[in-house]
Amino acid sequence: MVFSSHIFLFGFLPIALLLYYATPARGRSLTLTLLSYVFYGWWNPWFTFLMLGSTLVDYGCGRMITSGPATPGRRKLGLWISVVTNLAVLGFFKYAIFISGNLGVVAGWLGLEAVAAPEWLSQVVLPVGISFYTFQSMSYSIDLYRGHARPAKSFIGFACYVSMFPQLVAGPIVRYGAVAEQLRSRVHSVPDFVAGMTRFNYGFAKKILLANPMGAIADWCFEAGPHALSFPIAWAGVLAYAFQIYFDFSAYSDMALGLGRMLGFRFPENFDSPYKSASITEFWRRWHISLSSFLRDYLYIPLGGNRKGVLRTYGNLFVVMLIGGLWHGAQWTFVIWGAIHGVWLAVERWFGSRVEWKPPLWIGRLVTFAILLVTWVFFRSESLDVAMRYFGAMFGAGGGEPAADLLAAVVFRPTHLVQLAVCSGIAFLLPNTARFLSKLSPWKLWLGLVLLFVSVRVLAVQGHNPFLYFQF
Amino acid sequence: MKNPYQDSPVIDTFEVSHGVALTGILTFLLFLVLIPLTGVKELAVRDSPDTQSLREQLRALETQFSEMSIFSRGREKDQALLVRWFREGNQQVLIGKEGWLYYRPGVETVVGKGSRYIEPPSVARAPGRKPWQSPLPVIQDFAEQLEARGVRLVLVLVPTKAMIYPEGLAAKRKGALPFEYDRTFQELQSMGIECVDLRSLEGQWMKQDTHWTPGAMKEAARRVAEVISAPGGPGKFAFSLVGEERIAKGDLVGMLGESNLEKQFGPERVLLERVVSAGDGEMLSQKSDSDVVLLGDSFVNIFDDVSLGFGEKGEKRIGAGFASHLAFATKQKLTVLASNGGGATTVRKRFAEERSKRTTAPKTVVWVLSARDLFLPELPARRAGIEWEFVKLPEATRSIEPKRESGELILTATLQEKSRIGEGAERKSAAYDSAIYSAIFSEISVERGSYEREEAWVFLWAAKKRKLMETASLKAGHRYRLRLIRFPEEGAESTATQLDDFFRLDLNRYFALEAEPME
Repeated sequence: MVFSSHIFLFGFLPIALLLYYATPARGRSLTLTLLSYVFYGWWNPWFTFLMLGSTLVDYGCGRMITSGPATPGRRKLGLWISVVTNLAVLGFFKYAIFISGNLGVVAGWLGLEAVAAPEWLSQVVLPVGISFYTFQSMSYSIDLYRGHARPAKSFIGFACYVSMFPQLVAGPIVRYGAVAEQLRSRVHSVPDFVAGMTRFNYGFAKKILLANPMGAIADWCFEAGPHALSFPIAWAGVLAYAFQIYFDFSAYSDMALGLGRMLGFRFPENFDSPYKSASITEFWRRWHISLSSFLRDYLYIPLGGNRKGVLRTYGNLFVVMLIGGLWHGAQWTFVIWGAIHGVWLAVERWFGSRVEWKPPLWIGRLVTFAILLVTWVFFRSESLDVAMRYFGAMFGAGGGEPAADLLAAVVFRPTHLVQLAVCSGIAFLLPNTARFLSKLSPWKLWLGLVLLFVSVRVLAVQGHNPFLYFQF
Repeated sequence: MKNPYQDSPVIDTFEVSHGVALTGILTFLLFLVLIPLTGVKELAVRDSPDTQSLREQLRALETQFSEMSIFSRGREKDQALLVRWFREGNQQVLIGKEGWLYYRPGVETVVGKGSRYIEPPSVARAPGRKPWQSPLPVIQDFAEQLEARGVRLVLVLVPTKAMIYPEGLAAKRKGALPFEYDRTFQELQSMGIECVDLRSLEGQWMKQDTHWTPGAMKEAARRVAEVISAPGGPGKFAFSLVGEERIAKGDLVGMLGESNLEKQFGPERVLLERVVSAGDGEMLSQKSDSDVVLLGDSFVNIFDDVSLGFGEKGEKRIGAGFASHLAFATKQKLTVLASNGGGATTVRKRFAEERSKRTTAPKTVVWVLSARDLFLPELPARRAGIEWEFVKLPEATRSIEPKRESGELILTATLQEKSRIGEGAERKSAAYDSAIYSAIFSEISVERGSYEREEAWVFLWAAKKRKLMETASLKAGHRYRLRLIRFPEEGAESTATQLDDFFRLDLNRYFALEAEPME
């Protein structure tokens, strides 16, 4: 079930709100947990057992780390069981096919006879949201080990934290410490409900009215053959994809934060107008903030951060972004996407430490956005071959055939151009949803409701519209 | 460099009065609650799917939910508004200039990555999806099987509208071809397949329909006749042509929905030439054991099958389609096996079945295949419902007609398994408005007629005019009283899109005139 579906909006959500508010305060976490399992099981009921398993393991590890004779060995064992279990689950479901495929390639290079991957491996399907909840669940054990959080007082509270449906499948990745108090007791008020509802409405509209139309343009371009791709089409396609992924993912975050607030939770912000960034370093402070801070705290700093010399700092940045890329998907395209970001972060750090001159803001933004467009090509392409061919078109190769004219006629329809212009204006010029709604006035409230009504009507004529980040 | 947005914290202020806030909440909740309440009745009487899988039941409920009449009514109106105001089509139809409409997969055929392109393996794919089979190996296998049986294969590749008339979409240049078009052609020829390339076909495609005009179709038939008539000379039958003007709503307008779009898209007006016997003026009939077997899809059926439009009231066949014109040009009757949307696999299955029942082998198979089926890459092909499967032909024709259960049969039987039927929106935007599906029945008791097998392979109506029929809701494990006839060789049932997951050469095909549930 996705937020932008009829079944969620008119079936699950009203029932969830009714049940949640009809439950006495003490039982609300349990109600929310059960609702979240229904929400998650909607994709595939069997996957709920996976989530329950992950929850049990991390809760148990948390107890091991913090209760009883908390010897260093016992604490370390608890931590390792948690980390290894979560990474093993993630590794199996997300990376088994990738690893077996690449082992075959390496075996071929070495002249060895590759052992064929078992047939059943090709049937492995990624449980939706697994990258998010395994990270979230694992962060609990790590925080307990480091003494950054207190253990959950009840299993229900912890299960609620892991499974909470508003942010379960696509984040933001919430650390236990950020919601521990709210899990114990939270405030439910009319202003919070209204603020959450309005945030949800804007997120819903953003997904239906902005992200999906951009996705339609991007699909035409990225699904095109090399004979039909030309210079303007390739740039239009990657521009559309840049807006699609931003509006899609930030819309999900808006809805997640809004739903959370309607239920009395305050989750951390996940986006802050990332395309207004004047450097890649700044971009990572504004894009998928919960992931970048997770990678910083659980990977970059343990690797030594910037404390072990200049070269090691650059290396750490590179490794962290490489892993961040791989986290998004088991494809070399994601690895390269991460590598480019890692290299650029290192370049900016090197440049910043040696050169006094700072470019004007608009140049910084332009260059940053151009780099992002290039990296989005890897992110969107299903293989390196496709990405390289796409780059070829972006930099002038191809486009001479009549098929390119036909595709141009489809891509550069007047409605598409207007949609691209509107998305550009919103992404570059307007404040983001969080800032826009931070001062909630009546007209913003009513505009949100109108946008919801309009979006529901548009949803009916749109086709299937999954969120992009569900696949990560 | 100081970015003005950087690190400025978000501070919440709430400027909505309590009354306005409560009114807002009430409006929101009423919206969420009242809409599903209008559809409670529809959901209560919904058919639960016959599958036992909870996952599939949930998917079906989700589809049912989004297909509640409150949404579907709105969808048609909104689609009409999008067409009128913004010239925006839907997932199936692209709107060009001056009333030209294009079937999206037809455009994707031209601009896509080609059928050799297969998506890399991914764990993020739809669960349970079958691996994609690209068409060339299947065509090669079919050609080799035919060659081994001494049958000649002539492959006729029908271009899509976007290849012939891209100007309607505002493209500047003509002559757009699918990726690796020439290479594919050469490969087909190197497999020993005779190919008829229609890319230079004169005449236009219809403005609001996926298909060719009668003129272009007639020219195509003439070119194919030139190829297949060469070795044996022309046939002996004499036919004549009768011209008639007909009008119809194009199939692409139908795919845009039921709403009133007449103002935007007037009817298609065509001049048909019906092919009749020179002697008695009767419409041309088929011959079940002709030397020439014609396989094809809606490009063969258009102007013949009334479900594709251009028919008149009470008319069962029009008799002005490709098969008629090929017969006219070759002066011989043909065996025609054509299924709308089934040019890739369904017609080869039907050929295998027919072949197992024929007393003499055909000499030539003419396979009319849309370029869409051959050149669409995996993703759009899946979206368009195109599927390529290997089909094993029977070793030889039978010398004696197999024992056939004949006449009308009435059976009581248990539904064992049925093929998948698209639901809701999928059916409403389907390329063809009529579809049949197949089911296997067992535990048979015969009420009337004679039937000796333990199982029966029965086709039933799934949809007509894009609406699901009652016969589509049969459930596995339930018993039904079935009134059956042998599957008709001509008529709406034989040309309708076949949603058929079974291929049972050991059973005769039946068509259910009625299927009543038993208490």
